[in-house]
Amino acid sequence: MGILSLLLWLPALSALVLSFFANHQHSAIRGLSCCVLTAELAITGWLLLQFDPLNPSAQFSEYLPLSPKFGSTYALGVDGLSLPMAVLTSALSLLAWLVSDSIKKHIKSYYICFLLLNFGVLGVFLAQDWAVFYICWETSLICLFFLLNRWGGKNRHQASLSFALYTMAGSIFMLISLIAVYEYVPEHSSLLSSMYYVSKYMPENLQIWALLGFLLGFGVQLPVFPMHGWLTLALEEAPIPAGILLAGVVLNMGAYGLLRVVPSFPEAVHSLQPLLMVLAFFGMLYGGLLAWRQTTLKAMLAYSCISQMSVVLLGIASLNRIGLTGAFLQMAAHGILAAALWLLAGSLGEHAGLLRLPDYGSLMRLMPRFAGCAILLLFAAMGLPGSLNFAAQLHAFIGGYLQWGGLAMVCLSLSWLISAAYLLRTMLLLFTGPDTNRQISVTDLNTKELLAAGLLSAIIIGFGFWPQLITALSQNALNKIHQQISAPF
Amino acid sequence: MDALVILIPLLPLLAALWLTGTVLCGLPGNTPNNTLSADISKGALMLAAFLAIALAAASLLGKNTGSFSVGQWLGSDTLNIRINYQSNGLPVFLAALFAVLLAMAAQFTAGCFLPAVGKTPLHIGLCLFASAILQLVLSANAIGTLMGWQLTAFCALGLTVYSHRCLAASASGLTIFLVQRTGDAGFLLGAGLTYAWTENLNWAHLSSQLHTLSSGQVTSIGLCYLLAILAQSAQLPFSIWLPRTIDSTLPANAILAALMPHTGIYLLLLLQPVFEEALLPRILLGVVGFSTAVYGYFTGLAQTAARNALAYAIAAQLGIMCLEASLGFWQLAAWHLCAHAAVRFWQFLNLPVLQAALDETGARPHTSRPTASRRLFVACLQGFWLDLFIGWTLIRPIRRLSHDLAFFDRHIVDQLTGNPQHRLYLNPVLAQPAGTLGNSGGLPGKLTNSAAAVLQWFDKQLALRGVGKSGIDYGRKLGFIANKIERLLLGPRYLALVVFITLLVAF
Repeated sequence: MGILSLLLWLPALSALVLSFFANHQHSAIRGLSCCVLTAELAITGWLLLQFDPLNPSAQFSEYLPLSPKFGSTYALGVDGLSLPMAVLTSALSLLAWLVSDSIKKHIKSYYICFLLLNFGVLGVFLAQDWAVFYICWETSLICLFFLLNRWGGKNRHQASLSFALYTMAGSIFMLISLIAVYEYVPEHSSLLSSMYYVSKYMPENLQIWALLGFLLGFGVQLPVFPMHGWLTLALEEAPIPAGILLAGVVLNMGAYGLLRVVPSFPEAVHSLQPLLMVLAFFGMLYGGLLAWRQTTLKAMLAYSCISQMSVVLLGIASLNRIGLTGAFLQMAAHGILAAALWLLAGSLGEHAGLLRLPDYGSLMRLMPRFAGCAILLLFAAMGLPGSLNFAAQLHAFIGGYLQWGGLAMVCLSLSWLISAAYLLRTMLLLFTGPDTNRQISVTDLNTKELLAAGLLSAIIIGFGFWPQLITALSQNALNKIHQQISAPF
Repeated sequence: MDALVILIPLLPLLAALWLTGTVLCGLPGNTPNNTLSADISKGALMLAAFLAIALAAASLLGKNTGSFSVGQWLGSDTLNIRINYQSNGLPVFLAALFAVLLAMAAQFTAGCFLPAVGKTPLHIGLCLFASAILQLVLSANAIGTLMGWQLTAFCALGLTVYSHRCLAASASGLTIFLVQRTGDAGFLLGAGLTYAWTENLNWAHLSSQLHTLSSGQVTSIGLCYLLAILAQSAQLPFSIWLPRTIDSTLPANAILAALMPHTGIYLLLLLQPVFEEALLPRILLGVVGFSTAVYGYFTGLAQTAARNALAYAIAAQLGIMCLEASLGFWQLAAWHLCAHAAVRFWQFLNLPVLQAALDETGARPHTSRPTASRRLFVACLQGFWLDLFIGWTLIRPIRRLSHDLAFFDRHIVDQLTGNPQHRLYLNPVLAQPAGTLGNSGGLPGKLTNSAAAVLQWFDKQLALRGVGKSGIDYGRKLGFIANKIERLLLGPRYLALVVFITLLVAF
């Protein structure tokens, strides 16, 4: 068993072991989960140290034929795109475990679902074969469905059903596209590397249809307008740990999938570039304007996710090296930032009650730790220089400007202004103004929450001053994608 | 040994962050008697001083290679900025001297009596200032030096305003800040021109590439940096900021007046090759240095407060250092810089002892006070009206400009954009009905509100209700119909019919 198999199967096997535990052994269940997640983080950290960033190919590869007749294999590997995502997944999973104390019922089944979700997400990032990718993709969606449905808020059933309808519909389109592409691979293999060169054998109109199928599949998860209907409800109803993983990691799965398929269809992606651009710009403005209208913090954050992830789509749509770098940086930045903000939103609900934004006030005095972290993170979400989001958005915007010139700048500036407006207003409503009677008994973040939020804030600022650490890791993989896209057809 | 250099600015920075964390989190460092914060600050600065001395010793023994690179910080096209440090020569010796003096300041701060807000903020400021000044001195490129340069200015503002939280301290802090920002403009312009003409920001690279630049280019770079040097080292007409530091507490005053202006002279020594090539900046440097020396001497004589007299004496000596450099005595200026910083720092910290001695024995009248000429005496008392001059040429125009802009903002921009100062800045919750988000005024605000309302309607009708909720309803109806069909099919008559049809098809 290779190191990647160990990383992948550790949570799944632990979930199996957990199923033999008695329901009341809460400490043992939590302890085992903690050990597994810590071991995962240690393994991804070790991989990070051993990884050669100059090599654009998959490293630590594992290959085992599953069905020679159909060409499917158990193939794992990491490159400059998947390794940072795997590290993010393990780190955010451990963070989500830290705040899983809030789960009070069906604890054993919760941790089994949690670990299986972890398995699914890691599988998506480690897979080098579309069959493994698809199985892990579906596993993660099913686990998330159960997490929403069993441990969610008041409208959890509607949220989980909506989530299942959207994501399963997207998955069907993705599967159809995968089968179509598979038919055109000469050696009938489902390896990622085999499908890279499928465009040589596939007619252009079919390429476009296949890419549209992938866009529908991954676009639901990204989320791309108008396939975002599930997101706001799911994020509002999700328990805090699931919300952290959903906002921080699961959305990135869609962006990651799109980055993986785009180089396979260079002609189609150039044909669909205007569509991608319109979707990205519209998503940025749409998410921002709707975030402006929301009266609760969670709804505001959920809509801001649409706006933030549209920056990723914009970077990909620009089809140039700077834009692609921006897209990847934004994936990392959004993953960390959304997880941190979700953690704080959940903590605010627990410590001060779930209120509408105008009903809070003066939290700067009442919850200074919360206020400190939240202000820092909201400024980062605004794309303030010194944060990783600034580096990411700047790259994506320069990429957009190089591709579309002044039009891009107008749309981007508008989007930036709207983001600044709703985030500043949120800050003012939360932290200034007079006390309201309902906040007499509020308590500040506890040490564990402060540690988690402080660490994530420090990471955002640290990478903001030194984004080179991430770009150096992913640059060669992104260059490879760029070469593939810009190669003569 | 070269790698040690990175720890020297890093240790005080970590101490500052730790102390800030203790204040924010209410951890044990924020105890009422502040002993832990003093211990952290002293420990970090003493360790930094020890490391700086070790590095200086290694430099003397020839064990260092001369530079240490941590890695690339920023890279884009031809722009490649690395985090580089110098580990040989004057920067290392000066860093050792500054680190020792700052450790002494931490020790002094721990022992002195400071009422009101407590010492922890002062220790944070001290550690941050130490980190900034050591970064400034040790950095091998203009960006690293600029980072330290800017951070020292912010710390100077914080340390001055901290002391009494009174109006005078705030005004002094603002003056110090504004005057030094003038120098920053010169520094940034100089760095920009250097990058434009040499495509590199390393100090060593600039020196080695001077022969490729025309005399006009070297003069331009020299003039830009000269502005930064004059502002930082309190030369005419920027000398006014140095006496303003007396509004801070004594240890803060010591580091701001006795250490900070010397960084300007350090920059001058760093740019020795540029000033040797550029005649005009060098002549200007000499003239300004001489004028400042004369100004500092006479104004200092008229002072009655010890701290003021010391501040003017420092300005005069810094003027002499500029003159020495202008005349080509670079080595002398370097020695002068080190010795002067140490002596003035010691004098500042000994002021309480001096005061106690004066209280016992009484002060002797100053024999060399310029009483011979009444006009000269008045001029000295008024500081040659330099405060007025800077007020007229720098502070007042900036205030007027800000006043005019505020007027324009309030009466034109705010009207157009929805008067945000009343809606948001002053009191966002009181400014609008309780329990509402409030709508923005002005054209952009109204447009945003309308667009957001339309999109929200669209989102509810189509994206959520249309696809989501209706999808669920249709799914339920479909399931209900499927169940009905299944029940019908399982009924005996339909089952018999299906079996009959199957048999008919089969045969």
